[in-house]
Amino acid sequence: MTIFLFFSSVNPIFEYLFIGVIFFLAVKVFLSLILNDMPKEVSSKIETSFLFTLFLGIFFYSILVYLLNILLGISISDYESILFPYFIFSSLFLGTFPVMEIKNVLLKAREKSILEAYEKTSKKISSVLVNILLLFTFPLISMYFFGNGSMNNLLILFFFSILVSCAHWIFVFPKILKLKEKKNKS
Amino acid sequence: MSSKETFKIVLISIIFTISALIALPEIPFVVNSRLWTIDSSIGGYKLKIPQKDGEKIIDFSDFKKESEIGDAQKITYSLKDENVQDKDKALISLQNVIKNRLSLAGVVDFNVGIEDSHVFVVIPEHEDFDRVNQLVSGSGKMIFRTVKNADEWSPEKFTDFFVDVEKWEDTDITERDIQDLLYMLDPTTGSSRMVLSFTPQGREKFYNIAENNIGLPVAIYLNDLEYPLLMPVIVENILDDRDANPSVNTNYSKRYIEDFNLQIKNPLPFDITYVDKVVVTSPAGENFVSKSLISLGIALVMISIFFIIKFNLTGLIFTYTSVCSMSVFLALVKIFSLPMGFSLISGYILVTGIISSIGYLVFENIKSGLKDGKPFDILFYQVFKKEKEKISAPSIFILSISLLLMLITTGKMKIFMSVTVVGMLTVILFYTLFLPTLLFALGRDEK
Repeated sequence: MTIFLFFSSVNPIFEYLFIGVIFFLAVKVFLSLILNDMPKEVSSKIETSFLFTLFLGIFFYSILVYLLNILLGISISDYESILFPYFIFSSLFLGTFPVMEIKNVLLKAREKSILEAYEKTSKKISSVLVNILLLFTFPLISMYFFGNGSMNNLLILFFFSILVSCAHWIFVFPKILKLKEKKNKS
Repeated sequence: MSSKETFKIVLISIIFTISALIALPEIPFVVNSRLWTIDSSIGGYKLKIPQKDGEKIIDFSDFKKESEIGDAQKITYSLKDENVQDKDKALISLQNVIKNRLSLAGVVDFNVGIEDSHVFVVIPEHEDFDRVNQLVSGSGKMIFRTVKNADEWSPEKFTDFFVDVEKWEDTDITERDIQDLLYMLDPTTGSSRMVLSFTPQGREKFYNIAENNIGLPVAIYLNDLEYPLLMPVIVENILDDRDANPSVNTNYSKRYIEDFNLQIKNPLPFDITYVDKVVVTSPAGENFVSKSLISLGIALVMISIFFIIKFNLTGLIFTYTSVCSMSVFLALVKIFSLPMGFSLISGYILVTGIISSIGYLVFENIKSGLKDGKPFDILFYQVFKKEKEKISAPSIFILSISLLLMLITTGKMKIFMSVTVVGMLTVILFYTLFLPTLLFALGRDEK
């Protein structure tokens, strides 16, 4: 805690960088653990694509939050300490599913190409992720309409958080896998 | 059903009953008829645990409220010297020190700000005002003083010396010579002691002073107060080991000593004085808790309908398990005294999403397997044993990272991380005990 307080007293930006570095290292460890039974070449491709998708997600979400602030006046100053951990946790939870599915296909069918493995299971991944998106949205909808309204701005930001991460795992992740495969072939 | 399964179902019932009783607020139960007269209540219990130094009461009657949803105390301080150069800079540096002190003292929910050339601190109503005020306003300056005239001293004149600062003269030992003030229990007498852990130079200074003041008191003044914090009399055998840190008998509690320690390690850059304390009403509205709990209940109904539409009556098993899980979650929130507020509700929303998603993955896998003609037992084994990693990996990861961040962060993020830790423990209980047991017991005959 003293280190954290030191960083935040120097400049609040260091507070975020410090947490960001911890998240990055933790995700690296997490991925290497769940992909430890895969060949190193394959696991490193998945790891890189996963991290890149996550970073793009954070980047895109930050822009979206900025636009929501300008267009709808939704300020995040009161919520930022909840918002970004929520985004990262939900995004990691959603992202684990496609990774585990690809891993299963690769292990079962002895496929060599990650992209082929993804394509084999892409329909299932999309359908599951859309349903999970729905399940994450139900509490937001009920809180928005039946809550006392004081959390509504935060609920809107949560909704976009889950929407952005879901869209990233369905659309951006395979694109990055494709790019990674192409780059490796060339 | 095997005896192992029966045992698990009984265990779930016990866990659910206990957690529901902890989570529920006090609900009056009054029957007044010719046959029966009952005047009782369910929930909202206060457990009394007998302890060595009295009775400890664990209060489950209500959720603690964060300052943003319950009434809060706003304490204002002003600079003692209003003519300080660059006032804005001075106030910002004060704000940072106060933030550090409160964070390190374990005050989780607070807000420190600057308003009209004053520094203010907002804390929830349940927080101890006297402690926070003492912690914030103390300058953190410490000075050791010796008696001016040794001939005047006698143990009978202890009170005279205690109240009269004129009888003392300053030494060169200050807070800069102290590394730590530590609390310890004397193993032989069981009494509380304060250890003065000096820097090497400070220790040398102290023993030099002690050598010249055997049989006389030394006064330790803290926070520029007019009375000494401690006034121990130097005994001769203190000089036996000049490498040891001296210690003194004290009536101060461990928490007090820890707070003093925080003050001397984080001294205020400018002296401040207490101005006033006002009660600020909740910005989120008084009905926040009740409306939030009702709407989260509605969310569970919506999720249950989704499961029934997708998986027919088997989907109801999910409803049972999610109700059990959520009551465990709320009970843990009360047990760990996590404050109710935006962070807790956000954590609850995240946990609900994760639990329902895991439920969906399990039910979907079993449903598609049954469609392909695979037997239930094999599918059950596959989902909960062989491919368990699929559902367990993310929640264990989130638990570990939130536990780490809970320990190192402060403020709202710390609350959110604490809620996530509690939530992930609930999620683990959900997929290791609640869901497999009830699915195995009730879902085997459903197709």
